[in-house]
Amino acid sequence: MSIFTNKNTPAQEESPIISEAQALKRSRKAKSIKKAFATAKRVISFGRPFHGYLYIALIAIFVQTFFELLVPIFIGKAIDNIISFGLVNFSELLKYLGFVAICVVINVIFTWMANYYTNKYCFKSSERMRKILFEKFNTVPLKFLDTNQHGDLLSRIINDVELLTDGYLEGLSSITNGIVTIIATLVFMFVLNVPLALVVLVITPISLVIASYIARKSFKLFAEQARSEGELNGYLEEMISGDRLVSAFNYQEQAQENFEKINQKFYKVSEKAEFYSNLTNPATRFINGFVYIMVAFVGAFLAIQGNVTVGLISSFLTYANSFGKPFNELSTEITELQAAIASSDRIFAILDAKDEPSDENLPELASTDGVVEIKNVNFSYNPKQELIKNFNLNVLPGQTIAIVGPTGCGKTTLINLLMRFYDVNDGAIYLDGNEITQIKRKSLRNKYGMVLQETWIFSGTIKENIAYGKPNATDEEIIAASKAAGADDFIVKMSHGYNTQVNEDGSNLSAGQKQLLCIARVMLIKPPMLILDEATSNIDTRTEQKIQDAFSSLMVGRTTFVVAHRLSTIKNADKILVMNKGNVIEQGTHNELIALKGFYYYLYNSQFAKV
Amino acid sequence: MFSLINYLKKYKARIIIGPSFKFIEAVTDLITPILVALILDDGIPNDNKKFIILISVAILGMNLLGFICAIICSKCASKVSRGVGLDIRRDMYKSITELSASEKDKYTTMAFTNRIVHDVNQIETAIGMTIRNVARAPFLLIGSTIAAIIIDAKLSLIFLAIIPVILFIVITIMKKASPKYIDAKRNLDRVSNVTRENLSGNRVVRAFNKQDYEIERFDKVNNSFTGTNLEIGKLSSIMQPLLYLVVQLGIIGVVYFGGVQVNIGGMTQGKIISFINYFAQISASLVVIARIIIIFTRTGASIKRINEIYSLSPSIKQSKHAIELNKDMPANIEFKNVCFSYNNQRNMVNDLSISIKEGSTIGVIGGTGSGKSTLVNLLPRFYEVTSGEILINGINIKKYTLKSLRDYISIVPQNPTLFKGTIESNLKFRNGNASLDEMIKALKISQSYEFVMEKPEGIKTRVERGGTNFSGGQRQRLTIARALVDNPRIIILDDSSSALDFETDYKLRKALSTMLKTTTKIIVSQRTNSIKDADNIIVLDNGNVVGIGKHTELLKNCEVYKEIYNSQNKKEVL
Repeated sequence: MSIFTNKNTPAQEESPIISEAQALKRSRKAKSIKKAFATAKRVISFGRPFHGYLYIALIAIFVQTFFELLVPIFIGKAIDNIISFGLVNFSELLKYLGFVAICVVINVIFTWMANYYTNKYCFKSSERMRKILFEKFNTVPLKFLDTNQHGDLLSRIINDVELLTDGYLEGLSSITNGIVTIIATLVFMFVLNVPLALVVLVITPISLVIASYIARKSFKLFAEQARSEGELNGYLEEMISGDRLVSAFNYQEQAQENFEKINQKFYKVSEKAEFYSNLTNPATRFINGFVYIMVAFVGAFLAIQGNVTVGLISSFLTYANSFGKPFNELSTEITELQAAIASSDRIFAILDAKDEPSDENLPELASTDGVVEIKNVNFSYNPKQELIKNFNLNVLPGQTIAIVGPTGCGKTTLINLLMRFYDVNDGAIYLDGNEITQIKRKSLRNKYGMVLQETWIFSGTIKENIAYGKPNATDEEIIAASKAAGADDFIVKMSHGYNTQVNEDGSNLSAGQKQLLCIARVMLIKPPMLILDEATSNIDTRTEQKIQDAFSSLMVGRTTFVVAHRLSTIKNADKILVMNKGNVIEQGTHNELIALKGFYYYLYNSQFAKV
Repeated sequence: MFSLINYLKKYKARIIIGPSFKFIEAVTDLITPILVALILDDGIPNDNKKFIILISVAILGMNLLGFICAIICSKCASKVSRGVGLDIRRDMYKSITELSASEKDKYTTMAFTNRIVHDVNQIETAIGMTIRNVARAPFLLIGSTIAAIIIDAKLSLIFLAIIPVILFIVITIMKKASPKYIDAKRNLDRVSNVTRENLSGNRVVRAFNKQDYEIERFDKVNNSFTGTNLEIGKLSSIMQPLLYLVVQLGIIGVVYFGGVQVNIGGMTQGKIISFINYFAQISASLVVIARIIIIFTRTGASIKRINEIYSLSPSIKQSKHAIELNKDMPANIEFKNVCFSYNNQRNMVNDLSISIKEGSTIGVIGGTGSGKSTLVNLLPRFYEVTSGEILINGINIKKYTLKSLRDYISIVPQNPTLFKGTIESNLKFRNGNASLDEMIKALKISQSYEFVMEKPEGIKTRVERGGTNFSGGQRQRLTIARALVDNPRIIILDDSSSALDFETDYKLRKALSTMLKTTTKIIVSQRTNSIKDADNIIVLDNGNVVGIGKHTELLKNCEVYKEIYNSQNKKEVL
């Protein structure tokens, strides 16, 4: 997680844009059928480019279901031609079996098509959905990313898209299949024999009631189980990763006790979930068995009266089975649909977030002299809590501005404003006389080279990481930049030099090495202005020296804003901004500020005081 | 050694009862078609209404009986499978906490949690499925086959031909699909990794105007994830129609050859219908059997992984005649020719000898990888010295009980970890009965009192997992406070003030020296400023002790120390 979400504290002080309560309210509202349809429409719109697949799949489902239902009729007819000893009409028998074979083959082909195209439609739509979400992450204001937990956003792009696909899109095909099967079976049955059809029609819905009861119950239990498993996982992760502490504080027994509680809870809910979910099969068998008997029973009496043949009863027995199945599937589908609606709400909440205001019609700023003017700026992350009040600053080309203050004083806020990660509430910031909100963001941001203390290295090669800002850079340029940054020494010692792959968690690089790479990255693009953040964290002194040297050579001739911890940097600055509790409280040169005997004077002295 | 049998023993009764009841259900399933055939073949031709009613009622009763039996079996299955899981998880967690650091280092946290959660889950699924199906599926398979043979031996040859075909289809497709599932999982991980990177580095992405590049990067992984999914889709969309085809072909065969038999004599219409029924049952149970086979192969892998954990044993054990290290005893420490290496590689600590008096402050300094952390981890016996010895009050620390040793020494690790709960629950981590006064004193020394009291809920303030709702500096101070509660006699700060600004760091050191006069303090740092007032400073370089002494002495005669000091202070000298 970014440093900004904790140090700068907007995350703590503001309620996230998508709060849980809101999501809950949404999902409750979603229960209205109208909403479900509107949601469905919107979900389906994601798959618009792939609707061709959907149409093929739907047609295939129709054809497949129809031929699947014809099979029992022809088998029944075939059986009717096997009357008894010596009374078998082979030509008719073979004719009907031929029909069966044709129906089976057609059914197989279309089932395969239906499956295949449904899959294709679902996977392609969910790919597009993920893409749209990812693009959204890169167009919303940074505030959105700062105030929402990244884990939560991640789970929306990964899990919710999946749930949505399962519920709505796959649901679409099984619901179609189910409805077609139910209607067609009903029609077939009524054509064949009305009284028997009525028997099936009356009894089967009972299975719907039972199956949906089980499905609802097990869905709820599964959700609980997932929560409980999350808790189990979380506790284990916390205790095992903090294991050194657990031993050091003799916490093992207490931990075991706590774990047992969570373990027991998981046992209880997972036992129930397993039990209920596995009732579906026997319950279905029970209901189907019941229908089966009733058909046989009623059919037998009708047969005695000479109204039906045995072959017809056989067809009916098969129909009784296939009529019951979609009811079971539909009831499972409904619970999945509920989950999908909740997921779609979570996804739409992101998509409905406002983008950064468009800068399409604003002019580019081709080059800069590095003159920055801050005029009467007011800013706060949270309207309830004032932060920067009436801030003014003039920076001349090539000047160095040091920002100092105690931990958590809000130094990064200034970076946020300069780079337009956040916009000021009042007043304005000018670059070479242009108000920065009146030029393209891109042309503002490419004037600055930024190196943050919280380094960002992505999984790729070292070379790719350095060339991040200039992908077409030559190897010579990359090596020159790394040498200037003092990074070349350690890079060439790595197993594959510049082509060494950085691990996903960056664990094959030390904190200092990462910092040097980030500096090399900026060295390569040679920006006219700089924003630097000096390191305080666990970097050994020799590496830190290298970083300092790199910073110094980078700063020559460039307008620089530096969050400073080192006295040398601070003393050499043209202007020092002293920040405390989010606000700029003093500004001036070192000597001016010392003479002022204010907060800076106090800070300065405390650093060098003796115990 | 892990043995599933031992865990199952406890549930012997249920393991027998469950499948027995399932067996009864299977029998009822098997008899039903026979009885239906009776209605069709005897009841209808003979106009015997009473017989039809009687048989129908019998079938109904059996159906209900079967359902009840299935419920009982299901309950047994879930109780056994989840109960076994409960026991295994408990034992695994226990054995993991008992391991020493050197064994734990071999595995990541994820590796441990995945084994406890997912691998045990896999075993649970397999046990449950086995109990539910071990009686039913094979019995139905065999029973249906026998029933079919009894009805007509020749006709049942079709069954025998089709069984291997179905098994072959299911197992081949599942085998082909299962590595693809692993691919899909891997690709999904890539998708989430790129997303995570984008979210965490979004400032840099925007600063470099690389949004388009990021979207391209995402498209690539997103697309290959979809690609794997489509491949899986291809395989799975063919399985169901293929099975349908085979079964229907079988049924066509049954009807035709059945017709031939009827024509010759000895076969009836009703029997053909029963035959079709058995057929359906056989194909259904074959699919179940194939699934059990697949699950068992997966469970084998899980058991193997769990076994890895069971085969680890703690390398650091308490000696049988261990004595208590009383907290009233003064904290005099002595290192005598201490050496340490991980797995007999290069020495991380090389021949260190020093004695530390009660109440004194010792600084440890050196570059990254110089062995500072390793050194302080020897004291609470997270790792065992390779040679030499460490004494507290003249007694080798190996002779003390681990619990009393670790109550005596408090360590603040480099990585400031807080646990989910409240500030209070974190402070009470060692001693659940710590008094409020004690906690406030610890907060004051660690310079946390002010910011904690500024929170509306004070020490009851919630702490998120990992302490993410506190800044790095606040987290460090709270971990120091936690270590101070319960009056340890030795406190070790392992580079734990790095995120503090100079002023706070200074106040912290001052408070430590004035408020904890009798506590022995060991401070590891990268900054000479943090340790220059220590009574003694150990300078490490690549595991070697290159200097021991006071700040002023070291400045005179220790090159490494001088170098470190100058790099940090040269330019700062006024």
